[in-house]
Amino acid sequence: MRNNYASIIIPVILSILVIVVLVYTGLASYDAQILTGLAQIYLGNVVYPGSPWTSISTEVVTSVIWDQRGFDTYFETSVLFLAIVSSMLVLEKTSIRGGTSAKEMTIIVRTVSMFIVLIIVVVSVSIALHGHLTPGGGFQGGSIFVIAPLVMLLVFGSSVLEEKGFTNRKLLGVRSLAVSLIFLLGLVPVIYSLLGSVNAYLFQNLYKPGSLFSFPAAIQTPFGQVLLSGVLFWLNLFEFLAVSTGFTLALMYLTKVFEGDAV
Amino acid sequence: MSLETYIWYYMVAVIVLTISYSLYGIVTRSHIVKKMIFITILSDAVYVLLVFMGYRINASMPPVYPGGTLLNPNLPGSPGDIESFISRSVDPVPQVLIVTGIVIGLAQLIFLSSISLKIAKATGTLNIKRLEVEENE
Repeated sequence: MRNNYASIIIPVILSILVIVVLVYTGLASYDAQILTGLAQIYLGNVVYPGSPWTSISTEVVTSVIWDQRGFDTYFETSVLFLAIVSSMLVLEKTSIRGGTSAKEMTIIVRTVSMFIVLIIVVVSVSIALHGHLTPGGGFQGGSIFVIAPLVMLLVFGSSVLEEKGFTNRKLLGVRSLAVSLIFLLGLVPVIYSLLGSVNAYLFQNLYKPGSLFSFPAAIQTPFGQVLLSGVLFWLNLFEFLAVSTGFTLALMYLTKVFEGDAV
Repeated sequence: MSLETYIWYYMVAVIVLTISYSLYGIVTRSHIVKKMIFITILSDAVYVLLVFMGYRINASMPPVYPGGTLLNPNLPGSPGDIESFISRSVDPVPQVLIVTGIVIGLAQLIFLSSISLKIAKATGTLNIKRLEVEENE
């Protein structure tokens, strides 16, 4: 019984402490008017093409994630990759006896879900490719995309994706390729600086003071000039591929184990 | 105290109470799936709290310069544009932290669910108290 009291009292004390800290430091204060210095630096430099620290992108969050904090995001993607690989290792040759067997749902659900899956895929690709212009990016688009295979697995049973050609091997291949391409894109400035005698930084995007290396900020196409924000567009694309295939793989494994088939 | 201020502090209190209730749930529930649900509630409440920390009283837009498209990027042309952008935008730093947090949270959830499937396969139960009883016998 004493244990139960302790488990009620400790969260209450914790929440009171959190509220006191939030109010006294002004972090959750309604009257806060001034941005922090870091936020001012980001907002003022990232979008303005005249600044030496610019990313030539209208989206501050994506630029900070891939340009100002590129190392952090790269290792975060690696954490996701490791989590998916290790959960696949854990689930290997597992099956639960007496799991629910796969059954297709009724024709109404099947017809409606085909339309919904199409819309989800289009929206997620649009969010990922416009990551450097509007709110969104590779990870956000990828996690929206994952709803589509989840709906397919629930409605058509666990073998539908393999019948359509999305096998374990292909998905894991695209996943690994995307993570490797993110790392190689970060390595391109270093290789460039080793070939010529130019200074360049690891995971560099555009011109920085003291370095002449730069990815093209915009490319000329028959439709007009398309803004790419240097490497941001490509990193968003690869991150979208990595996240969508990785989560599809994990969902496929989980559904299979749950339905009683050995993976 | 104006109505807006009252609603603001009410929302902050609700979020912090949600955090503490999910901590309570993680500690007291003995079923692993229930613990995982409470962990998800905890992380989501923390993300909402971080969004609240990024709010500014005069801010009317996300940290995105308005009107950009792929073919017409519409970047700010003068330092005056930047000044008005900074004065109207919310804090981008908490939002950046949230994107990182969601990735790590999802990775952790996937790993937890696969491990609990393995436990269910090996022992036939996901209730921690029953697992302890079996160990003692």
